[in-house]
Amino acid sequence: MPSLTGLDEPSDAALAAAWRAGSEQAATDLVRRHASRLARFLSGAGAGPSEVEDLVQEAFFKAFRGLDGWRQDSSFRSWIFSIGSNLLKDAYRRRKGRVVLSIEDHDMPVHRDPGDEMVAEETAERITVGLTDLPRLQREVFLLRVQQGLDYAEIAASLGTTVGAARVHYHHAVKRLKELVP
Amino acid sequence: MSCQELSDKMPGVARGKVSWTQEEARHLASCADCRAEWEVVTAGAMVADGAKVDADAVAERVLLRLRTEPVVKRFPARRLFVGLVAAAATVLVVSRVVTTAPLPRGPAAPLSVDVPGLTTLGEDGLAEVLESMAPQWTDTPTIDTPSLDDLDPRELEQVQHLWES
Repeated sequence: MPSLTGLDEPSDAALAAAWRAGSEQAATDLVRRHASRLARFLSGAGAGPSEVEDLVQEAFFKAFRGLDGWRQDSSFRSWIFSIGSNLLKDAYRRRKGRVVLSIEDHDMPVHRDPGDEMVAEETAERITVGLTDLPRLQREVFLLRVQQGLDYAEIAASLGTTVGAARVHYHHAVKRLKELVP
Repeated sequence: MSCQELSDKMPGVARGKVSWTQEEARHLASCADCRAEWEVVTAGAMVADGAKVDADAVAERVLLRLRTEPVVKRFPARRLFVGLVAAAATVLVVSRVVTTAPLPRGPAAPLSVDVPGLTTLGEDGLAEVLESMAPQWTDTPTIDTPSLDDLDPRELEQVQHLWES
């Protein structure tokens, strides 16, 4: 599995092997590499601000405890998202289906003029609200694709579905979210 | 250039990983449907941008838990479920077999046991056999129960005392 951060960095598989061999530094490096992305995903998918950090911590705890369960035919990133998604699903059940909105200040990934930026931020808020109305799988597929940049194979591995189904969920999510664009 | 090709490339462009070619940019400018999707994708790429965690603090807490929390081997819920279903199915099958098993119909056939030697005997022979067995019963010692008339006054008193107590 190629490294996410460059050729000089050890791969996730190498870090996982080092953790198995007893290196706590390797575990710390894996957390540093993936914690922020996982937090963004969980927050966008409906985790409340107060529960995001706990969910991230629990996801890594479960990942390291059950590292033998990581079949390396999928990336560590897919696997940790898979654990996070399942934890969020449990939290969602405990909250009896209530999705928590988290509208934050945004950093614009694409340079625009101030007018465009304001429109884009309004759209982003609409999309954030619109995401809460989507079925869970549509919401998570959309976020993994657009927010995290995963390809469909990784999305399928993360959410326990097929590539074809992931494409269909993405298509439906975009179709519904388009209706919110002014 | 198809809308699908543009759609597939949108997440990468929105996250600054790749750029539009001139042809793609022209398509985007002229296709209202693609523009609407592009707005959704660029907005989606920004969702929860402000959500951050202190990765070092998370790592520290995770490692602390890994050091201190014992590994709990739990009986897998799936195995438990399969076991319960199997047990329930067994009970169901057994109860069905018991309740639907055909009961014997009509009167029971008379029991006849052939005793070699006796079947060839005539009526007289059988009577003789019975007679030969009779002394065994009469010779058997029995408990001799005396009547109250046979008891002397002292024994009668003892019996009366026994009854009263």
